[in-house]
Amino acid sequence: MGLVVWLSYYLGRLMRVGGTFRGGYYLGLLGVTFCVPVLVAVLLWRWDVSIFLLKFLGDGEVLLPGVNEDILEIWLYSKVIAGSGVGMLPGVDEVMLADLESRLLGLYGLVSVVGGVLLVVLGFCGVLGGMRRLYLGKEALVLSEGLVLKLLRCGSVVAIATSFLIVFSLVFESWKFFRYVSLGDFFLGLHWEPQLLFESEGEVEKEVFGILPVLWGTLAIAMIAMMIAIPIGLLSAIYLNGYAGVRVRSWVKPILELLAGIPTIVYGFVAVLVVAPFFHRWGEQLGFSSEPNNALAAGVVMGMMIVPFVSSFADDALNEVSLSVKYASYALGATRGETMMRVMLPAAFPGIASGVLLAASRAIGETMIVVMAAGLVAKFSWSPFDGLTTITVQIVALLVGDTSFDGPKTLSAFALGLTLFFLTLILNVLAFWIMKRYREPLV
Amino acid sequence: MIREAKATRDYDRKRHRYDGWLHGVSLCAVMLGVFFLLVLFLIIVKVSLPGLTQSYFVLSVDFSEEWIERGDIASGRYRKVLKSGFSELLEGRGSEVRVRDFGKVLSSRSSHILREMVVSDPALVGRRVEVRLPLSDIWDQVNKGLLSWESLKVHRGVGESLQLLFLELKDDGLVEEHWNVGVLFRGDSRFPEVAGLYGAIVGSFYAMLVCFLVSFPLAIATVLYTEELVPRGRFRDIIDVNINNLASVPSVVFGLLGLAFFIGSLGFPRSSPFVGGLVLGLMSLPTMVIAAREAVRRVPVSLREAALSVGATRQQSVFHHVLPSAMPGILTGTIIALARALGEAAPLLLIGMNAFVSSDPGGVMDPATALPTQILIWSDSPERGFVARAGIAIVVLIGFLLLMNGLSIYVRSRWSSYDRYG
Repeated sequence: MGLVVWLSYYLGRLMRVGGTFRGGYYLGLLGVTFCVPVLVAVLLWRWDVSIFLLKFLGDGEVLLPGVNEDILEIWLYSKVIAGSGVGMLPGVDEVMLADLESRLLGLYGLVSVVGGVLLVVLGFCGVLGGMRRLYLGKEALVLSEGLVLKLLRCGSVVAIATSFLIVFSLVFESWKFFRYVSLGDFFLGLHWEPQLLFESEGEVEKEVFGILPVLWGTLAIAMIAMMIAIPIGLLSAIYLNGYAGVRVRSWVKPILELLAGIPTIVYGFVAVLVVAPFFHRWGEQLGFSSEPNNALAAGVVMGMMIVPFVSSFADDALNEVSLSVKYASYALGATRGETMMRVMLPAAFPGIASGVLLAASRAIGETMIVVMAAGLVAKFSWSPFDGLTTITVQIVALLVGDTSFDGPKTLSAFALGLTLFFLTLILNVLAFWIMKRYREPLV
Repeated sequence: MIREAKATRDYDRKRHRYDGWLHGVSLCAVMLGVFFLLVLFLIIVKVSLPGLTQSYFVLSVDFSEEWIERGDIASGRYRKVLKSGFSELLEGRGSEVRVRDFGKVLSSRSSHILREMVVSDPALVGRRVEVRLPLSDIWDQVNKGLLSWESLKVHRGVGESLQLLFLELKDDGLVEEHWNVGVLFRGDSRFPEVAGLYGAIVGSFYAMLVCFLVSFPLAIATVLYTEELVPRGRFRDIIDVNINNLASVPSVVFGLLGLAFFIGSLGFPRSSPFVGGLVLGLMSLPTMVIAAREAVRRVPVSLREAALSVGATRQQSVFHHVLPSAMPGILTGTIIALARALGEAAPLLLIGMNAFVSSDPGGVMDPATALPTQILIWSDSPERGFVARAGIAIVVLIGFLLLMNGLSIYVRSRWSSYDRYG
């Protein structure tokens, strides 16, 4: 690396035609022209190259009799390329396996060396290109700034690419899922029981993939959460904005924000350990059929988590209302309560509404609390003491510990993910639309 | 006239009563929020307290050459060493407890601990040593008084004689309780008494490293490009809309992206901190961009114009002046975004960072767990000792988060010289 830096510096200096010498730009230019092709090549490198190598080794024949090819591939990959020793393969001719391993190792070494040499050559091709431009009389400053601009542009494209990738991968996997299950069965079905599905039996039962009960559970738990979060959050904001002095405010606001900074897994831990058993006992005393993992616990704890979101959104919205409006109301003799309820809140309403929508979208997409404290069985139930399930719980339950990608069971998680994505997207777009449409500056 | 005045007074009283009512209710709401936080912390402290200590038993064992060959220490018969230690103890006390029953008092990893001890210090072979071995989870609970003798008798079939023996040994000072330092320096295990967080801490560190290396340069590139170098046009609008939408995509969806794209399409190894870091990096990118955007906007225009007026190019003014001035703000936002990523479990769950990994990860490509997923694994385990250890893990996680937030406050106060313009 140092060699490359020195070389590019020196070569750049050689190639310069007139102008003042600003070493850094030559260095930067040629360094970038070396690094970019190399980095791109490294990124395009397939990490599971061993599988191609195996195909090459096997040349269409059976590599080892009596061993599943997939298992063999994974075993050899982790042994040779990842370098971590895994357990023995049962029922395999060890001599043949060792032979195969050494052949693979040799081939991998060869490929690595050739790849490395190719990388360096590629890098120097880039450097040569840069040098040619310099030789043709371009200023290094201009050239390197052009390159930097391109790099920054590439960097900023990643944000777009991420959105695109999310939508693309979700849609692609869901599309595979909808070859098994029709759209109507999925979005209008009343039963969600993918655990009943045994993939080996061939015939796919289509009735087990109906999203409605899962959706019901998601909305019910989010509703409970919002019923906790909206009053507490809104009233906190009212207190902070209307009643609290500067000192109290400077203490209370960070404390409330601390609630937002606690990882959701901690909330989930508390929910499953303390809150869920508490509501379970309470429900039984009241005579409900109650489950240990009940919707109420998940909803209440999630509400606690959402409180700071609502309160800080509402607080921001209230603070954005011009002070002159507030003082005008006071000057007319209104009490602080009247000013708040009749003047400030209506003026800040768009901001508060969009904050509430954003908080609701967070409640719907929240994962860890419900994974730990909500139930696994999807059903339509009005009782908050029943264990309802949510989209996120089902995604996690379907994908954790499962390695195969192609069964309808795993693919259905992506369809759920797509639904979740669009659900939250709609809420977000609505929130931003309200902000844009109704926020009129009151002066 | 008087009636009118009275009506007005009544009305005023009502208005002020309403004001007082709103004051009281809203104060209650704030108190409730603070109360939530307090209860949360109290619960975590209460849960994790038993995990702070671990009970040990002081056993005299003979690393006799009969069982351990000097040339081949690692494959010595340490189970035999342990058993002979037990039977000596039991015979010395004249107890009728069977060796097998007493063996359950100590951790089932005891013989491994003995082996590690001798491997690290071969001079022990042929000597008689007093060793401290951890009590098994159940007996640890009993020793701390968290589990009653009755339930031990009913559920575990522990006899009267073993109970008496244990109490006698405890009276003789052979059962000790020490700070559970090992929980920070050991890898995960199936047995709570020897399980530790080290692997998870290292895994989280690697994931954070990758996350930082991915998101920090990208965030800076995005902000500089859209705010400074090409500050208008459709491209910037598209990026802005994108960032806003990405910021509110549920984290579990990023996990799906990691599973389908990084693991499924690109073939990166499952359960690795590398993939975890990539996913967390993309997840925290919007947060960082928003923070960096604010920081860059706070840099006064006069600074840019001064640079341009003495002949700097646009990029020189950006890289030499605007970026360094905005750096404290950018770093503050970065640290806060990283702190949020550190506590995130959902995406890591989907890419398999919740697998049981007992060996510490040696690099970013090795399978590993992270702190939040380790909390999930432990709190899902049936053994009681794991719940207390999950509490400890939460304390460690929150400790790291507080540290990072403190760091961000320090950065802001230490280098915020340019904020005075804004």
